[in-house]
Amino acid sequence: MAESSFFEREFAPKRLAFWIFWFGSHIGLFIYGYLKQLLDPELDQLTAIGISVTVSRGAGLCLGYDGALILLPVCRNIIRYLRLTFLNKLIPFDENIWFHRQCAYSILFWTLVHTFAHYINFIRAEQLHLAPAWVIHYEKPAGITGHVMLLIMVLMYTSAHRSIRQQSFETFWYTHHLAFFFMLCLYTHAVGCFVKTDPKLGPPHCKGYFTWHFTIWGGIIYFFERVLREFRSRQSTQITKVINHPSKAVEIQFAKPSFNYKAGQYLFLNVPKLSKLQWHPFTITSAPDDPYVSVHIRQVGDFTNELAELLGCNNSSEKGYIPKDLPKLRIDGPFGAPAEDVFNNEIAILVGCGIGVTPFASILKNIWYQHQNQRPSKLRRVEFFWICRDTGSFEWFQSLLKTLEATQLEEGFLKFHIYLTSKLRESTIQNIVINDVSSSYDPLTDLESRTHYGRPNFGDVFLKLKRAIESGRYLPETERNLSTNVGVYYCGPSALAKSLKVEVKKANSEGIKFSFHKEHF
Amino acid sequence: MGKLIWNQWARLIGLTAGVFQVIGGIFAFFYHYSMFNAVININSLFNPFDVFAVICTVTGLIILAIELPLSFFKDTFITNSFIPRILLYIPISFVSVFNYQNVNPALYLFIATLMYLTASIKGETNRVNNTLRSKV
Repeated sequence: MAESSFFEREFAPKRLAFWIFWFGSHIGLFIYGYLKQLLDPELDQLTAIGISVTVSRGAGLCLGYDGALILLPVCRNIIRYLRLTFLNKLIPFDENIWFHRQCAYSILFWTLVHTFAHYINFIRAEQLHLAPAWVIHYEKPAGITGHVMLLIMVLMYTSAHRSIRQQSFETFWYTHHLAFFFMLCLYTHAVGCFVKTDPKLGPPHCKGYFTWHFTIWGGIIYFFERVLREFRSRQSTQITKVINHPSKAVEIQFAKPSFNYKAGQYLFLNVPKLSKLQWHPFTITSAPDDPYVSVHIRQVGDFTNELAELLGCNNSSEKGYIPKDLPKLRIDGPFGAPAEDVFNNEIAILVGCGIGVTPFASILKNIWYQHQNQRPSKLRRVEFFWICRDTGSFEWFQSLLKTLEATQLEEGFLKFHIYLTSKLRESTIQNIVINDVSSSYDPLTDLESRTHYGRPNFGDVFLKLKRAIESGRYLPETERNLSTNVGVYYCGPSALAKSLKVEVKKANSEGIKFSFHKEHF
Repeated sequence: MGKLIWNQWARLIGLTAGVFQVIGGIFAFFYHYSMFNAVININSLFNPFDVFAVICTVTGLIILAIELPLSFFKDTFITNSFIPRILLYIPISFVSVFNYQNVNPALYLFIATLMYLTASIKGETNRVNNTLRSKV
């Protein structure tokens, strides 16, 4: 399947608008800072050092701008509230980490400009008998904080590289908290005041840009964000049930009265007994009407393995083992994810891969509750795709799917399409063949809808759906001249996401609007 | 989540240090300045010609060649184990610290060296197993 090219991706209207704003604002600030230094007669004795001073001042202003912005996209609690407002249509809040990275790249670039300009400045300053270069570097507050920030940046940027992040998330996570010291240095970088007015023109006073006046707001907002996280995580939480599913998946159900959420949202989970500082994101798999909150955790790493161990799920003995007391849980959340907007479409196509089914489990449950309680909903049709590698995975949500199928809400309201991608053993195939013929249920999933083998061809699926809508077969009552919104929601590996996005774009047309939404990990 | 592979991180910091080392070296062709002027008088090495400019540029390129690694270093004794690197980087960082713009790269290189040392003590090998876990 085709992937969009670099050009198509970076010059898509929305992205292009961002780039124009992003580079435009930086270049504008740079020129502003540059000219302000150059044209100020009070700063002439500094400008005399040369062009490097004006460059470093312009770059410094850009750094202040980025320094103020970089903490905003990681305020997940605040973003969660902003998601609910009209701003959600203008700003893609789910791309917050992407924006955080753009800020970081920008900081790196301007840091290089700023630092190299300063290296020249300080040599020139010594030649002009202002101060020895090494003194400015290592004795003045600005020099010290600058060097500390550089060292922190080396450690933070390298440990945030994808190879390290994917190998050892903890290293990345802990190293990234050096940002605290980085920010302290950023706010105090101008202490000692090196941008002084010319003493010949009256008493000298500071005439820097005072960037800390606005960079500090980013820090203050982030501080409140962390306080809010701490406060929410300390609300009482009690594990009520632990279910050990096949294929190494563990379901934890807990009660937290102060926790209000919508279907499709996610939470951060912390187990003080394992680690006081590690917070791990999990999708909520229960619906708001359930008396409990549940998460499904697949054992794929250190943390999830240890957690399962602690809950007594990894015991191989027949009877299983019940831990004397369950560990304390701390929950932060819920946080918004694209999946919570599913109910704003007429037709929703939900695509989950493996454990990526979790946000949709919550949504499917919610659909069931909505139907039971006869609450009105905009949603008319749901096509649910679940692509799984092995047969054991089906058992995670088998009971849920079966209940949903049995209730069969409205004719054709909810359709399951289950795909199995792994190779089957010959005996399994034989077994399927024998059982498949006679029974009306699928031998693997025990559902009425048959399991497909292999990967779905989404281009084909969308085309058929479009034809069906156009001919009026799909949604019989709707007027054909009205536009229909089809939301495609995906949760799974990014390789399939890219190709799926291309297919969605191809299928998008005037009357039938396809939109693509991806869950982020 | 897996364990931290020290040499993976050391390599990234080494690459960063290498890039700065080269830039600092090139910088020194234009601006001759001894960072420890006040402590030790080695001005004869800086004027009229800055010896460190050549040293830093060349060593920076060597660091980059080892860390990338370039094809002629691949699978040689230099890249197959961490000990040659550690032995090479310590003198490089010690020498380049005297040059004006190479104090920082020297520090980063020293950190990378310590990480390589940790890696070899922990018995890591250079064969990074790049089987990225499926996240789903």
